[in-house]
Amino acid sequence: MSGGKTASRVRGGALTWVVTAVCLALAGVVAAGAWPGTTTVPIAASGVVTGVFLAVRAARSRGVGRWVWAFLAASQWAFVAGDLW
Amino acid sequence: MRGIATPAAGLADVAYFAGYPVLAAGLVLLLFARAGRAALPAASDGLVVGVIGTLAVWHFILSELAPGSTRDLLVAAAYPIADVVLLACLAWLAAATGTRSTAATLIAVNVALNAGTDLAYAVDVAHGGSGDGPYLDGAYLVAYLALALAALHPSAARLTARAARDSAALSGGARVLLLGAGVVAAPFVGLMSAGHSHGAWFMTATAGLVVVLVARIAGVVNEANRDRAALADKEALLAHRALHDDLTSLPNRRGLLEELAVRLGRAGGDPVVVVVVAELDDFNLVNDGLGHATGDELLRRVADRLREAAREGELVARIGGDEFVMVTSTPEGSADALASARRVAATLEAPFALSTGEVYMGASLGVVVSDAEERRPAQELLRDAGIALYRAREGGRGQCQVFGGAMRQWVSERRSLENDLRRAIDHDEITLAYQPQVDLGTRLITGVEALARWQHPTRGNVSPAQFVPLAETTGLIVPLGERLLARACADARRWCDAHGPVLTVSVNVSARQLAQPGVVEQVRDVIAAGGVPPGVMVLELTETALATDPVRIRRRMEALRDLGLRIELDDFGTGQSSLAALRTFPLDAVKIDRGFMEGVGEDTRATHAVAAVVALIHALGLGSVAEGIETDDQARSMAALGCGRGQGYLFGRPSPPGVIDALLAEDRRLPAAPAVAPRIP
Repeated sequence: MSGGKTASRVRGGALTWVVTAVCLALAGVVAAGAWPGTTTVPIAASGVVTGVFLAVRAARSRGVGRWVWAFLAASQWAFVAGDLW
Repeated sequence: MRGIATPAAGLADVAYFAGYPVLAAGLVLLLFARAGRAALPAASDGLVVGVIGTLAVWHFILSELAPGSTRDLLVAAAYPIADVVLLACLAWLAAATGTRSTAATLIAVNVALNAGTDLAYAVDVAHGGSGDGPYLDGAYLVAYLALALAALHPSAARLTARAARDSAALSGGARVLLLGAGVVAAPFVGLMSAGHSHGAWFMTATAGLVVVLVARIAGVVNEANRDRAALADKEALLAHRALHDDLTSLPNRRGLLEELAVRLGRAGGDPVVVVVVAELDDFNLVNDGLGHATGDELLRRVADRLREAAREGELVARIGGDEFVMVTSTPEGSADALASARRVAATLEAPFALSTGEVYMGASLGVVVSDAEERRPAQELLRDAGIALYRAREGGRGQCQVFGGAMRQWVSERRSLENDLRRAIDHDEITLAYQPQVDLGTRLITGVEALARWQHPTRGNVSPAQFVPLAETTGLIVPLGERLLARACADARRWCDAHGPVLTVSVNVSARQLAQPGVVEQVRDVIAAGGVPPGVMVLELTETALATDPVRIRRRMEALRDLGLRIELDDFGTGQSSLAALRTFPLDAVKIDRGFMEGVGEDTRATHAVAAVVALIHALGLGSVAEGIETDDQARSMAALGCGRGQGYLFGRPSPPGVIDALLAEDRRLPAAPAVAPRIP
């Protein structure tokens, strides 16, 4: 239904802005060297969030698109694993 | 090797290395999904980036590392090489599909940032740095953010949609930049190889780079040539379209004028140029009644026939909806001009076998002749031929007129009348007069026929014989007919309210009106708005109205009868007098044309002829109405022949509604003697 679709778009838009704001803030803190402790935590956390979004997008996509997003997701999970190791 | 120690390899590297090929595979998959086969030629762009990047990594990073364990060295080399591969994939993707999709752009940002940060890290380490600058961590974070946003962005849903080649491929400027970078890099790398420990390898790579660049430049040149050829084809197509009609491929008005101008200006050509303009009669009936697809099919067939009929040197064109032109040059004058016109008419006479059935389609013709003494511009010739055509159409179907000077004045007056008629319809200046119809046995008035009358403020009384055909020709008959039907309904309702349903009210419906889509709904609305009881309103149709698309017209007539309307065939005997029409169409009565009344009761042959017509009508179970009764003898004879009703000056001329009011208020009997046996000489 169009009402549900609109509400979903609004939620999606808000989520985009929240993710952008949080990640940019994190990146700013990290780049300024102001992060207390090891930077692995914020980097890996960002990687996890990204991996989740990519996996969800892959699940929602069809055809070749699903494979493209799945490959991107897998690569990011591999990088997250490397970060955490 | 300068002796900088390589970082020790660990398990984390295994996880990282697993990510690179997977990411590269995703990019290549995306690339082929968006560009398809067009991705292959763009591979050389990626190759250029790959070769330059590899040489740069070799020179700036790998050469700086001290030999450690083979494993550590491999790990240290693998990162920047993997980054270069990713950047090459990115260049390939951009070259093949562009980056018009926001999601694709964000993915590109992620890859570029990751690879760039890796390379910065590697350069830093190779030159003795720690590689742990906070700005590098910030860059990794932003890279993750870019990919997260790519997954969230609405364009992600269309990420793999096939990109249009023209709009998506790398722009010319970007391509020049890429190839320029390669061209500049090649000699630079060659210079670097001098004195280098792996100089031979560098030189080989440089040669390879040059080969790739040359191949790519050749490809770009080929592409440009193909584009230029395609552009030339498009230009030729556009030029052809500008001068030709899409439907029939004949020259259009502009093409005709250009060719005509050439012929008129050609020195030593034929002294006489004849232009014949043909317009199909009642093409609108086909277009409206059978649909535009059938109309288009008919136009194509007409074009084919004219093309086949044209002799060498003759030009056929289509200059408007159903207007065709044949231009011919002759050594003689107007006699040949008429011969050309006759040939065009003969060409269109035979029926056209269309996918929806057979259609007869004559044409009206306008002819203009231009001789050597009086050369006129092409535009003027075409205009005069149009005027002659206009004059021909006024004369009825299948007429032909050769242009003469007096026609301009005539056309001007005609146009003025048309404008006045348009205004008169808008201002309800066209009124109705009613002519009585009586029962020939009792002489009681049983109905009236509504007839249009136009009292023009300056022209005075304009004859229906003048303005009705004009309304038919111009299509104004449709709004006019609707308004007159509404007015007749209003009068009928008034008479019904005052005296009961004692009168039928007949209204004429033209062929054009009946062919109009939605005519049934239009009549239904007008009748409903007027509140007239069923059986009162009568629609009179002519045979012409039944001729085109009989199946559809019959369906419409049935629908109209279902609305409570009676349908009578008007002027029977003037047209084809088709018996099939009487039998096939859902009619209630037939009006015998006034022409049959001449000599009735006095001349044996005339009386027998009309007796046969009446008998035929009755045999088919239809009612009969005799038109044009002017004498009592005619009335009595028709009554004796069994004709039910009569109409004519004997019973009353067309009169304003008030006269009918007065008639109804009295005893409805018209002053004439009762019928007696016919006098058959």
